[in-house]
Amino acid sequence: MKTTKPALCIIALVAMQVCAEAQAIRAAYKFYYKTDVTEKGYYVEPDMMMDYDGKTAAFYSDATYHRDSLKSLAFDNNGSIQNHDACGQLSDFRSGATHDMAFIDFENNSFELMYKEYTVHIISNAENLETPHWKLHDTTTTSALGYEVKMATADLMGREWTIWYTEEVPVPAGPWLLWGAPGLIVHAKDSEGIFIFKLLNIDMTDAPTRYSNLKKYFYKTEGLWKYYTYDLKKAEKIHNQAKRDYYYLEELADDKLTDSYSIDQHGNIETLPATHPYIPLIAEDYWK
Amino acid sequence: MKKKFIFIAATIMAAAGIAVAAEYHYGFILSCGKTEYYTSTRPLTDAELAERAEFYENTKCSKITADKQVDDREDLLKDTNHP
Repeated sequence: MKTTKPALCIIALVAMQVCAEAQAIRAAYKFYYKTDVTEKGYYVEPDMMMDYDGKTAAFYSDATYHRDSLKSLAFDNNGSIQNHDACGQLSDFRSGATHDMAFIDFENNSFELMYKEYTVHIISNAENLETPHWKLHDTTTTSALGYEVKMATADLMGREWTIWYTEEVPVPAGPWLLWGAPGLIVHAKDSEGIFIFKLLNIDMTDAPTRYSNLKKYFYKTEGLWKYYTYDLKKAEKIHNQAKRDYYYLEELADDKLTDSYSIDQHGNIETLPATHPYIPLIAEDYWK
Repeated sequence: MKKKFIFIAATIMAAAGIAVAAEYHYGFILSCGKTEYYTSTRPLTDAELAERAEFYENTKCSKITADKQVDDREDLLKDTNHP
């Protein structure tokens, strides 16, 4: 009996480990961002999801995930409607959500960023995953969700980030490329106050994460739309320009635009501005 | 020779005229009450129409739709050091 108890404990621990590995986490975040530092308030992406299963992490918009899934059913390879039900259901999900996605592959120590503007897909090649060197602080408080959270700071890709993480959810993941803290990131903010990530809720699931499906849907329209793959530095440069310059985006889309304008409820005519303000998560100074 | 030149020139001009005349006009009614008009030199597919509508929603309505509004009223944003 003396030998069977430790053996049973080891079996139990191994079983727990297997269960722990099988269980994935889906954390929902609200993402606040500015497109210009002088803006008083923030734009909001209300449904950003972080799926983590111990091997991979994906950060994406839930509305975009559902819309892309439906679009892949709704349209055929020529861009014609093939499923009217799926097409009709598109309006059930928020239009205009971000298509920006971040994928981390912990086993291969790599990450990829994928962007989509209109029909233009810009993808960064898999890059070596940079581990933020979190400086852990003694400051502790209770979050709005009731977690005991601790503060940490680190520099990542040209920005100084302050995060609050909880060891009650021992997952070294968080929104975007913020990872490697001793617990799930509950709140994150850069030092300039341009970006804020705020945890909304957590779901534990035994189902596979959406990591593979997200990638599959992203490449599903490869024969239909434009795809550009570069190293991270160039992908960022091209994407930043496409976000800021509408005509450059049209050029990338290979579209023959002749005219575009809108009329509001009062009959005022507004042309689509050629340039838009935009601030990327990876600071542009990082590349200098 | 002169007649031939005039004929060729007229043919090119007519072809150019047809090319200019081939325009496709689209109107997108957006959730923020605006209508976006777009003119293309080729017909858009159903999927392109869906993508373009989504693009206009994002660029034209982002400041006034409920889920994309500029919002500085949340307590969280005033308390810079609290999660």
